Amino acid sequence: MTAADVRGFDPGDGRISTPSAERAPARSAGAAAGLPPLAPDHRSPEPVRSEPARSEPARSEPVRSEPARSEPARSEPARSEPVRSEPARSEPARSGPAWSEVVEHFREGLIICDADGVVGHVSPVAERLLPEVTPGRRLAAAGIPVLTEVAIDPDGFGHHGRRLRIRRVPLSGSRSCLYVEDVTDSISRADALLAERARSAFLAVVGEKLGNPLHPDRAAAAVVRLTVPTLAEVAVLVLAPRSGRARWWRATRADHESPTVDSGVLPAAALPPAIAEGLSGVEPHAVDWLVEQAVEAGWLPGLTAREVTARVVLLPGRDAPVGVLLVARRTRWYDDADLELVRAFAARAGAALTTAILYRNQAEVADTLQASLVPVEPAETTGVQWGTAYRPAQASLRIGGDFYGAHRLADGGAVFFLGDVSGKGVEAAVFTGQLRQCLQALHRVESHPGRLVKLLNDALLETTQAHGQGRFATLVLGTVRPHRDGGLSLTMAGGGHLPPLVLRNSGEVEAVPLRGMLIGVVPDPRVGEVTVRLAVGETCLLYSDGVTEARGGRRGDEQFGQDRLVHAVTACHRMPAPALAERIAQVTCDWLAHGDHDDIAVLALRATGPGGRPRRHLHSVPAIPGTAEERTPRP
Amino acid sequence: MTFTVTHDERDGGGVCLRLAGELDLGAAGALNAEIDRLVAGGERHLLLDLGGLTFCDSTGIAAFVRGDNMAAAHGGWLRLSGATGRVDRVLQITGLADVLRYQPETADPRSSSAR
Repeated sequence: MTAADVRGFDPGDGRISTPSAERAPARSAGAAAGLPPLAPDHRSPEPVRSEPARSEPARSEPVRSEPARSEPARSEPARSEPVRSEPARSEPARSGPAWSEVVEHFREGLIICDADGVVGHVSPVAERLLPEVTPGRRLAAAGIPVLTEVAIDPDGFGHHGRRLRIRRVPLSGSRSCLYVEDVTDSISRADALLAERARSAFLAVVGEKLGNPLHPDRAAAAVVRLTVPTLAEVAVLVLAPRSGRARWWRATRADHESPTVDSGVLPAAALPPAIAEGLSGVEPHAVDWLVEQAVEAGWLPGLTAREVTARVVLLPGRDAPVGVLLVARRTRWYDDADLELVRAFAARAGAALTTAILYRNQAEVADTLQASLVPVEPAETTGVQWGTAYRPAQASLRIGGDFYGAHRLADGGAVFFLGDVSGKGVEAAVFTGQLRQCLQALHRVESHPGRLVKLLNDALLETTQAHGQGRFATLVLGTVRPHRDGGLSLTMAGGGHLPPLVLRNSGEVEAVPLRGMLIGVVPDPRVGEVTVRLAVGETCLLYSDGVTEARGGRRGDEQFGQDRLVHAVTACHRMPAPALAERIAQVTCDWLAHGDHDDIAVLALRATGPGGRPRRHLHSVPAIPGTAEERTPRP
Repeated sequence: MTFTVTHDERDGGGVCLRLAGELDLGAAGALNAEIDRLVAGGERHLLLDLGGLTFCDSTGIAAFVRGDNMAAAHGGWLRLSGATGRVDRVLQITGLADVLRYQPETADPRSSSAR
C-alpha cells in the first residue's frame, strides 16, 4: 500500500536503467573528447563505473548493455573502443575544460576524497544536493553520517526533502569517489505505481472473495472482514433497515490475526444521524462529528474520538444504498486516493450485497409458494395407517409433478389419490397444485371414485386445452372404508396410471387390474374401477412412474421396472406403511445410476384393524435385487 | 439410444412419421418441432409409426397429446401405430392407445403377460 511496503522488492527497473540510458550519450561524448583527467591518477569515469558492476551484479546490467544502446558509436571504432577497453585510459587526448563541462551534465554528483577522508573535489550537482560538503574539509565533518558509513542503504536516504542514493567507489591511492544521485522522482513514481498496483490487487481480491455470495449475512460479514486492515482498523457495515430494524456487522483489527467480526441489530431510529443520512442516499460530510457519533454508539472499541479519523461511504444498491460502510483508523488521515479506493471497494461490496439480498427475497417468495405446493400428509383415518415417500426430481425445489394426498369423508372413510402430471419442475408443480385444489373441492360433492375422476377430467380439460401444450395427468383415485372386522374396502378408479400393488398376508404381491385413460385429454374418458378388500395387516401400494422408470443397474440405463419393484416389496408385508413407502423410495434411489431422476412418489395404506394402532414388528428385509438376472416370478 | 424421426408420404394423403430410439424429455422437443413444422405446412393427418421406439415416458405421451390437439384444432388428427413392448405398455396404462386409435400390428407376449 505504502512506499515502505514496496520499496524493498522492486527498486531496479525504472530507476537505474532510465538514468543510465540518458547518461550514455554523455559518456560517449566524453570518450570522444578524450577522457580528460579529473583527478591526479588520470582515471576516466568509465572504468570506475564498471567496478561496482563487478561487485554488485544487480546493477551491472545497464552498464553492460550500453554498447548495444550506443549502436551508432560502434560503427566508429575510434570512438567506441576507448569506452570499452583498458587502453582508453592511456588515450593521449586530455582536455580539462571539456571534461568538467561533461561532468556538470551528469545526473550524479561526484565527491572525491583523499586517503584521509578530506574532500578534494565536489561537482556542481553534488554541491547542490549536499551543500554541507565542503572541499578541503573532512567528509565526516559535513554532519551526514550516511556518507561515511560502511553499509550503504540501497533505498537511499532522505535529505533536505529529497531522496538521495549514494555509491562509494575506491580510487587508486586510497582515495575514494562518492556518487550521489537524486532519486526522489523515480521513487515517488515507483511508489505511485506500486500503490496503484496494490489497489488493483486489493480490489481483485475483493472481487474474488465477494464472488457470488447468495446469503446476505455471509456477504456482509465478508465485506467488513475485507475492509480490515487494508482500509481501516475498525469497519462497521450497516444494512438498510428492514421493518424498522437495521443489521450491522463490525470487523476489528486484532494484532497478527484475522479481524474479529461481530454483528447485531439496531432499531432504525437508534442509528447515528450520519449513518441514517447515508442510508437515505446522502454521503455525510461532517467527518469530525462522524467519529464522535461512532464512538458514542460504541462502535469503535478502545479508540477515542481524538485519535481516530473516520469516513462513511455508501454501498450502492438498486434504488437507495443497500447499506453504508464506516471506516476508521488511527494511523493516517483518509486522503483522496484512500477515499477513492474505499469507494471502489464500496461499489463492489454494494453489488455483492444487492445480489445476495435480491436472491434472498426471491428465495422467500419461492419458499412461500413451495409451501403451498408440497404434498400434504394424508388425514388420519380410522383403521388406516398411511405411509408416504416423496423424492422430487429437482430436490432443491422440493416440488414436482407427482402428487398424493387423502381427504376424510363425512362417512368415516377417506378419499385418497396418487398421480403424476406431464412435465417437470415448476410448471408441473403449478399444474399439480391446480389439480389438488380441484380434488379438494370436488370430493365434497362427489365421493364415488369413477365419477370423481370424470369430474376432475372435465375441470382439467378446460385448463389443459387453454394451455395447449399437451398437459395431462395420470392418477389412481380411491375411497377407503373401514369394516367392522378391521379390514378395509378400497374402491379405486384408474386414470391412466400404473396399477397399484397389494401386499397380502400370505406374502403374495398382487397387481390390481385397474385400467383407465389419462385425464385432461379427452372429454369422456374411459375410467376403470376395481374394489379390493384388505384384511388386517394387508397393504395397498400406489406409486409413480419415477419408481418403475428409474434408470440404473449395471449398464446404467436399465429401468427399475415393475418386476424389481415386486421383488423389493415381497416379504415386506409385515412392514408398517411408512417404512414400506420409504423403503421403495430408497431402493429406487439406490438403483439410480445418475443423480437425476423423475419425481418419485409412493403412497401406502395398511389395514390396522379396529384398534387403530398398527402392530409393531421387527423383521429382516430381503436383499435388494442388484442385477438384471435376478428376477422374481410375478405372483 | 438416440432418438430419430424420419417421415414419408402416405398413399391417399397424410404423412407417416417413423420414430426410433428413446422418446424422453431430451427428445420430445425434436418431435414437437417436427409436428409443428408439418402442421404449419398444412398437414392435417399425422400417423406416427412407433415400431422403432424402445422407450417413451410421460413427456413423449405429452408430445402425442399435444400433436393431436394441434391437428384437431385444424380439423385433423394424430394417430399412433406399431408400438411394441414397453412403449405399448405405457400407451395401454395411460389409456392413450384407445384415445389415439391404436391398432396393434404385432402382438407382444410380454405386455400381455404383464396383466
